[in-house]
Amino acid sequence: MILGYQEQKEILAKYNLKTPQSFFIEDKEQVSLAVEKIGFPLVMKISSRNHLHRTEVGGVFKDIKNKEEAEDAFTTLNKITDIDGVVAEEQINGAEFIVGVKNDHSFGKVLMFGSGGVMVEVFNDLSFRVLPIKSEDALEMINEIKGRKFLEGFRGGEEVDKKIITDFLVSVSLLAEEEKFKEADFNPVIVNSEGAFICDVKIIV
Amino acid sequence: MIRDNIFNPKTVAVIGATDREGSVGRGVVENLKTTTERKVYFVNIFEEQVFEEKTYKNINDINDNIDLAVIIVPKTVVSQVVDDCVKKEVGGVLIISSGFAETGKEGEEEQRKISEKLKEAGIPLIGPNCLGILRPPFDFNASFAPGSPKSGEIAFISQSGGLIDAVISDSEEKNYGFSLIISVGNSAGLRIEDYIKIADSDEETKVITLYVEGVTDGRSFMKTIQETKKPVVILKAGKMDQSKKAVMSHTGMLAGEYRIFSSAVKQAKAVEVESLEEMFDVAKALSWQKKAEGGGVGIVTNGGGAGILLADLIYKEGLELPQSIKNPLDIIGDASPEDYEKGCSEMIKQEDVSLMVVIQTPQIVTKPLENANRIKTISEKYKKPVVVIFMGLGGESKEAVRYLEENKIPNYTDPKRALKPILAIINKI
Repeated sequence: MILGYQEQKEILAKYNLKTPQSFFIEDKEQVSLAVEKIGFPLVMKISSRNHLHRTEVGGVFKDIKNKEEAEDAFTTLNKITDIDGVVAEEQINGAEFIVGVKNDHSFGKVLMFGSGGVMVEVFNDLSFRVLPIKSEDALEMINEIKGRKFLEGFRGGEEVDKKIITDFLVSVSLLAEEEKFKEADFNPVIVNSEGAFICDVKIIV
Repeated sequence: MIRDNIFNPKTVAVIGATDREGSVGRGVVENLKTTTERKVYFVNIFEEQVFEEKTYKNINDINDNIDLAVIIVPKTVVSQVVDDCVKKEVGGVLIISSGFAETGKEGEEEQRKISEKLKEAGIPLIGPNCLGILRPPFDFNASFAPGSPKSGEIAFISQSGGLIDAVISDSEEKNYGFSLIISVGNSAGLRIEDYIKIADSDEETKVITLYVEGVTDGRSFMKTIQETKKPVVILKAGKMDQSKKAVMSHTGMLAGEYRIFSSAVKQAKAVEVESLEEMFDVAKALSWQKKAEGGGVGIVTNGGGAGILLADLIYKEGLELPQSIKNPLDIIGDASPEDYEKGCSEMIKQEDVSLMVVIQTPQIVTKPLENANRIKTISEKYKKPVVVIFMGLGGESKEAVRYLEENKIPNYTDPKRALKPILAIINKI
């Protein structure tokens, strides 16, 4: 079972893991309130414990630029079956990564870090470590993947201090040690000079 | 701790000893009888004599303490023989016989009963279903392998008996040897972690090599490797994940069993290799040469091409070649032993060079033996690790390589084969 929106949010906060500012919207009237607080552009997506891949059911709208677009998005998303609700969220820009934790039958809890988006599906650009890890291990994990270039100012992109990610991974390691769950996906984690933001989370218990 | 009463026993009882042609029992007897250093007793309920020596009907008829009992009887009588060994209070039991957990539920149950009996009696168990154990520096071979390998400094712990046979069969040709060989078998008693600890505490062993198909407790396996004082080199089989389980997360889908194993091994600072050949290429380098203090590789070569091939491989690893002098240093095709000596001394002296690679292509004026001699002298003088690539083993080159390797300087016949050993010595794997 996938944990609900609020439970997941609480667990992440406990370990100082950042998420974009977001609101759970129950009816159309709440849309204007949420977008006023968040500002534009923003992302709207379904919150669902039943759909593993949101994008496959058309459950994510990005780059929403005004209130009208937001309301249209809500109407469309709200029609999708088996959802818990709709979430409006601050849109974060930066380098995309995937982070995950798996409970391996032989090695116990294992941390995964890799390039996000299509990079992970197509190029399998990933590194793994048995938990718990220290910052040195986290740095090795970053340096093992090709996607590290996105942190090093690739093609005029922003250069990001790797410490942001090593701190992030060490916090995830701590979370994995303390909390009881089967698997967790943080995908994507978007990193910019402000920090590492978990933009989508799935904790499976 | 290595238990000498098992791995270098004074007295051995072979239960199921026979001289019948083509039998496993005869193989074990022949291997154990290559030395007169230890007393070997034969136990066989049916045969009066084995190789014209007296046999005993039961281990308890032997009027001597038994350090190690080697069991090669059919599976149906193993349990009964184990009872005899418990009564005899033997130091250890090695069960070569097969037909246990590897055959299914019934065999597994039988194996569990046997291992519990021995555990209760405090008697260590090796096997069942294994090739046996060998300790070449002490002329100890309690296995049905086709002979004994050269004695040396590499411990080989294997979940495949057949691979041990292959390694032993090749040993005559190689300049490296073995300190300890253990066929793990079904691990009903001692487990792979115990064997790693045993090899780590063995004074003859400098490097531990492992052939692994699977481990039951990954975390304990990893912890054991992390705690070893000696380098560990691992060859893993069964890398392809064939299970298509329903997964709920991306991570579950992407984190295959082999990827996790491989990462854990890396985290534990062991070297993972892709083939048996590569395993011993790395192992001989690590057993003969000490680890480098820095990461700088200096290359001296009498052939430009060979030098560039190696330089390319090193650059591809994301490493740099120190440039305090020209590197690779091409001492040109007509290089004499004096040129080798001069070039090598110059290179190895550089502060930023932590490991020197000396390449030789066999040109018309090349003097391999003399070159080998100069390289050895320099290596001893400067006390930095040296790896040699003598390419082309015709003429006296083969003898030169033997001379180098007898002096613990590893040789590879191709830059590609030298790469992994070099990376292992400079800790860049």
